[in-house]
Amino acid sequence: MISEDVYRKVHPKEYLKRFIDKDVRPDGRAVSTARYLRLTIGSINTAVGSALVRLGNTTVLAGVNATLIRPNNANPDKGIVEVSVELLPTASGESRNVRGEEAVVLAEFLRTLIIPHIDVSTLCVEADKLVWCLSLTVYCIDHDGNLEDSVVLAAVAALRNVRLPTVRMVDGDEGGDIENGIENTRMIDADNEAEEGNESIMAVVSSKRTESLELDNFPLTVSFQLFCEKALIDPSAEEEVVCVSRVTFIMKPTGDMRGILKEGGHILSPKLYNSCLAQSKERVKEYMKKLQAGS
Amino acid sequence: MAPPPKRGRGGGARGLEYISLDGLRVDGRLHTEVRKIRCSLGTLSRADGSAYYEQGNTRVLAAVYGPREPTGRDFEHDKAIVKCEFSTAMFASTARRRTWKGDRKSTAAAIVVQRLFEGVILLAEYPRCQIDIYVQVLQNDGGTLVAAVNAACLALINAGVAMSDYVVACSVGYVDNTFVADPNSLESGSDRPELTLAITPHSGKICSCQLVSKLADDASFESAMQYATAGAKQIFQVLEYEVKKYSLGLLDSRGMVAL
Repeated sequence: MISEDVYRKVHPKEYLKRFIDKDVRPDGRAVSTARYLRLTIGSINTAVGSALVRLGNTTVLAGVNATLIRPNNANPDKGIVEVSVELLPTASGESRNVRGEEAVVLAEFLRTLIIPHIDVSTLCVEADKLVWCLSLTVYCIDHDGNLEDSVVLAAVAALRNVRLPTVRMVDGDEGGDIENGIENTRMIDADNEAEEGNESIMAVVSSKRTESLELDNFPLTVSFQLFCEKALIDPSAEEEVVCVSRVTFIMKPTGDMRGILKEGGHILSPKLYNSCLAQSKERVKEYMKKLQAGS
Repeated sequence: MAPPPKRGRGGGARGLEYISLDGLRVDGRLHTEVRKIRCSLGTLSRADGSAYYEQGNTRVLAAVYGPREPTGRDFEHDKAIVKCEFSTAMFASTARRRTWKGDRKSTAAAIVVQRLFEGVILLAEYPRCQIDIYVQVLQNDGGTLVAAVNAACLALINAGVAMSDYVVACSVGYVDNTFVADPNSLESGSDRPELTLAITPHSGKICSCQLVSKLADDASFESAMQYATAGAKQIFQVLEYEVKKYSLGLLDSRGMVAL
């Protein structure tokens, strides 16, 4: 007779199956119960927008940096948004290569979801001269499964939290005469690679950050793992190791479905699909409640 | 201890007065006072030991894996090896300067942390093992190395790694002709002297001591050390309290002590 802990390690699949057959999961949740979500918005005050998501033990921190840069020539009136995801060594003891791969996949997933919803033309200060470059970085601090949903939610919350300072362009000569009020910090375009004949750009940046980002109809995701003809909502790390069929429902904030993402694995029956969709709608309501409470 | 600070000359780079007429600093602290510390142990689920540490607006997360099998090729047959990684979040400071893993500053900090704990961990207890310390700076308001050392110490305690003593770090800055304990980013400009000291609080030994830039002629190194030691002792009280609280909580959850 082997002990439970050993059985869990040696036969993870059978271990999970015994639970799921009885409609309960190893951490005590029902198959259709997601973990408790904690959302803290604006906790990093050095970032222009930030959010911390805790989904059970899974912890994800997203922050947005803003810098003023010269636009690139192809799109002189559009700002730039960079998205990156990092899986920190604090999140899992895996080697750097394994973590790197996982992070790249997550970043690509997030990028395709988020980028189309940001109107980059609103990030333009003056065409051809100065635009905002927002870099969104999502750090996975603790990995206990379902990083996908947490990363997307953290990114959305952080972007919604973004408050940019107002910027006023000034001429190069005028720059010296600017009233040096407490409210104003003078700032020279940092992109000073100053080619010949390219006059430096000066702008006054207010120290108060007021302008928020237009981000409507943002995406929210709800993920399931298929196992034994059942769909486990919000899978934990232990379940993710055993199950190989992830289904991600991409939802609108209103609760309507926008898309679905399924990368192979078991077949999703129409009955299961409908039940997943219904659960996703409920879950999105929960997300929205937390998003609205936090901001 | 040095005499109380006189009114500073003011007129720093930003035209700021670092010490007010009342002898208070920009954030209202006394010159010997460290910033408010908040910390918690065992914050991460995957790591063997972890700690979250907040010193004023500097926020740091530390995780410890091990003692475990070496991940690389190197190991020592009679003792454990310590490895440390130090990285800073992109949005940790408002400055545009970008940091990435493996830049010069992070590598230097990582090596300091590694050397420091090599001296305190009882390495001979864990032959052919590796102990990994990961430090992540989430928000930087000065004194990241101090916060990293203190957080790593808590994480190692949380992981149950045998150590001869705590390690507590504290830094001292020099503004307006006076020493200030635990300077924040405003007080620790790049051109000002800053002493970072790590001690073992019970035995009072010095684990690491770094002085960047040079002290002014009228400032004595001894008094800087006194400030740093006094600061470290303040920090140690908080750490010890937190460790005791955490340990009692553990014992209580196992029904071994009645709180």
